[in-house]
Amino acid sequence: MTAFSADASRTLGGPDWLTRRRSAAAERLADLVWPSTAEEIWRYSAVDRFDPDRYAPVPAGELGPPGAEAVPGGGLLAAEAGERSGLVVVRNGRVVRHELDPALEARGVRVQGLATDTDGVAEPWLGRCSDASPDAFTVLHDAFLAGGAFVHVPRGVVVSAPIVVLHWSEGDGRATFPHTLVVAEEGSEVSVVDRYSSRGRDHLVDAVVELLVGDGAHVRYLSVQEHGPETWQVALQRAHLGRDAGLRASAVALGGDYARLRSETRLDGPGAESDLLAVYFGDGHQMHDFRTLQDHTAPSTRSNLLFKGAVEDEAHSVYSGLVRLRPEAQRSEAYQTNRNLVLTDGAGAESIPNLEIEANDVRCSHASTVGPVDDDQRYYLATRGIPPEEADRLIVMGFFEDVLNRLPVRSLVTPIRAAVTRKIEQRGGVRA
Amino acid sequence: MAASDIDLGSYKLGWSDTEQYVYKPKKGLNETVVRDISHYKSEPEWMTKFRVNALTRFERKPMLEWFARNMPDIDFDDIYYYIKPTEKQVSDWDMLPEEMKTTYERLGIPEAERKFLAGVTAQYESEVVYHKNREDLEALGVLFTDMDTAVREHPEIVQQHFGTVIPPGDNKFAALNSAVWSGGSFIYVPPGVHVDMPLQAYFRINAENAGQFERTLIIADEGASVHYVEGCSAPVYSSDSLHSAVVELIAKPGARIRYTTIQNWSPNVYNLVTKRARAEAEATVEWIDGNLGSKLTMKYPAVVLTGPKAHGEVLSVAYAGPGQHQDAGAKMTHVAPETTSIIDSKSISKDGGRTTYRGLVRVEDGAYGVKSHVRCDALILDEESRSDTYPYMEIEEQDARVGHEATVSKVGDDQLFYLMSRGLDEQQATAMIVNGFIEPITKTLPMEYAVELSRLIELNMEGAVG
Repeated sequence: MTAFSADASRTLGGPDWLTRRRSAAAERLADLVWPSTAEEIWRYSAVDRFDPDRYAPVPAGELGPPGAEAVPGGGLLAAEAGERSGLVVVRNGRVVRHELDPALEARGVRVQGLATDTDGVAEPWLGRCSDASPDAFTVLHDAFLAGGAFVHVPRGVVVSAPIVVLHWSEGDGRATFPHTLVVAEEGSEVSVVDRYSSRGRDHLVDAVVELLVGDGAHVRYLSVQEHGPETWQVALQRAHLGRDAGLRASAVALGGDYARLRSETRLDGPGAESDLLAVYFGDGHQMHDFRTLQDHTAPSTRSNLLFKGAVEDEAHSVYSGLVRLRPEAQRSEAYQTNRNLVLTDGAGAESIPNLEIEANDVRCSHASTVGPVDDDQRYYLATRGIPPEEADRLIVMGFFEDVLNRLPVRSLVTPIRAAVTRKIEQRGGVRA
Repeated sequence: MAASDIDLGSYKLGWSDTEQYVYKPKKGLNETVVRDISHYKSEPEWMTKFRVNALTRFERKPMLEWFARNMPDIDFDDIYYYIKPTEKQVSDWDMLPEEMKTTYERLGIPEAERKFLAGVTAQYESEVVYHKNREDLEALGVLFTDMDTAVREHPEIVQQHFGTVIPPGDNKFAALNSAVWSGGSFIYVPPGVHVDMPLQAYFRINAENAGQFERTLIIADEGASVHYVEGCSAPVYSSDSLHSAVVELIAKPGARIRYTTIQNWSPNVYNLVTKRARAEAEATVEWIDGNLGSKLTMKYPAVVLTGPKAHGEVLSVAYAGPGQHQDAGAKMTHVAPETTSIIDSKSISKDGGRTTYRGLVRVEDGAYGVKSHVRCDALILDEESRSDTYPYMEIEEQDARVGHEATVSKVGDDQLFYLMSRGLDEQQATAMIVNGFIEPITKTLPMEYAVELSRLIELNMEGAVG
């Protein structure tokens, strides 16, 4: 654990409250034990290949002062961000630019970087979700959190166009720690989009997303991951939902060498509802690894999950999900579906949908499938004169379509569909 | 578990007999105990070696974390590993010692034999005490004996197959069984022979703190078929007993084996059983598993599909009442192409009981054209009970179609309402719905067993309010 020292953590600076949180985590670095695949939650993962010595945090000097933008206007990514009410650009885990519709600013909506939050507005919220589900990577994250994005929507305020957060990480052998903290207070509504990109040899992205959805609030959240081919991502996305709160969250995973996302939702308030979607497509030697948790701790809560993935070449994917209905969660419903297409020999998919049910007056089901492209569908398209490669591409896109079509941020459905298509076509189509 | 926690009322097989044993060594496990068992049985040298080797493996193997979590209070030194209840095995019912005869008569064993079975084995503690085979089957070359006799009388078949499906190092409890095994059944069905009626065995633990480690090996040679049925029970004691069997099935090309278990151990028995079958080309193996008793059952019948077009099936019903945990499941390993498997699991938990389905479907690289379907349904009858589902799928072959689905629910209000509007009370209606829920399994059983299973479930349901 050479480069990730308490000293390195201290150089990051920022407001006192943030430094205190960092140093509390940094004290634990010395005793940090990296997980192995012997632990159930890491089973099938690539964590045994993880070598912390290959990475070092980005030094304070390279990060520059908070708010100093290296690429004006958010660079290329911002150009296709589309309609939005706010934009945050995060470079190597620190916010370098943020803007917000002045009308919303006037109503008290806050969009800014944690490192420039000198009033400590974010302090009571930061870590509310991630502290409830720690592992070695969240401790590392907390020790080197340079200053991620903070979105705060006050009571009753409705933000109609999405707030777009662009995370850009780069540097050979660097580790970055992007953070997105969304606080939607009682009765508010907001849509947030996180877009992750990275480049560099041996890059590690250790990200955390916290979604605090207050009583009666509604959050739509979309994360799109297009990391570079040598990037490792180990991320936690965790949401806590209050009474009658609603969350529609989805993830699109296309990039990375090994890209892991823990997606956890805790339904704390009666009447809370969450809808979770994901699309992932891996090729080459990529590995996409999802661990989901739908944790129902209150009565009359409802959650629904649909994760769809495809793998080709030597790519692998893991879906491991748990639905937990605690004894208090009477009259709740929980559904979980994972479907996988294995497109080539050599690719593989693991699917483990788990249930732990401690209440009886519930409805709960899960389903999962792993299989190749259906020959009947191929045959049908062949009889219509569609060449085999084109047919497979259509079938894969059709397979993803029911998720793409339901993505919570409408304005991004078309660009994301294009990105998925690009990814499928990039390797000369799907080989049968 | 304290004595006061045990509900004697609902467990009908919980009496115990006076102990009159020929041989009952000290508690605990070491090489002397293992060598003594082998010596007592006048075993050949290879079996003694097999046992001692297995003991080393048992001592070396760590307790798996999730095993340890399920049974924090097991003490391997507080168990009798071998108890010899009687001097010799009999085939005339009247020659059994009076206590045992009463026990088995209360369990309905001779009656079962008279009625519909092709052969019966009864095991009491560590040894098979009664054995009877139908003569016409013997004439066809069907071998049906207890395992100890088989080691002595059919050494060539036994040595060739024993421990080949479940080697001693497979897991800690298989190693334990391999070291101290005693009793169990041995069946060999020659090529092309169909045994048209089920062969049966009944296992009974009587002494307190006793361990029962029977070992069963069934070989169906090419194109043969056989159905084997086992039942089990034990008295209710304040301290726990351990049942840790190893069952190996070998279905040669085109053969068919069906293995039915109605497990009704008393709620102080740890039931940790390793069951695995090898299905060769075009063979079929079916495990039918009813788990009603025991304090904790951890049992995952497996089929390794080694030959093309082999088929494996596990149909299981689990019922967990107060203080019970049924951690059961199934394992299908598809090694050969065009193999297929079905897992159908139904579980019911009530009065604080906990049911767990834990399963694995694995498709090896090169096993093209595999189809597998897993279905788990759980009924939770009250607020105190719980149900877990952990289905693993590991697919290394692109051309495999594997699916899993599960549901967890309570007894439907509309179903209850419908039945009660037809004049049933709530308890009868709930029992009827539960019986309907497990019907896909009961209909595969011989009729007497189907009736017994339904009755056992109804007994357990008494006093139930859905």
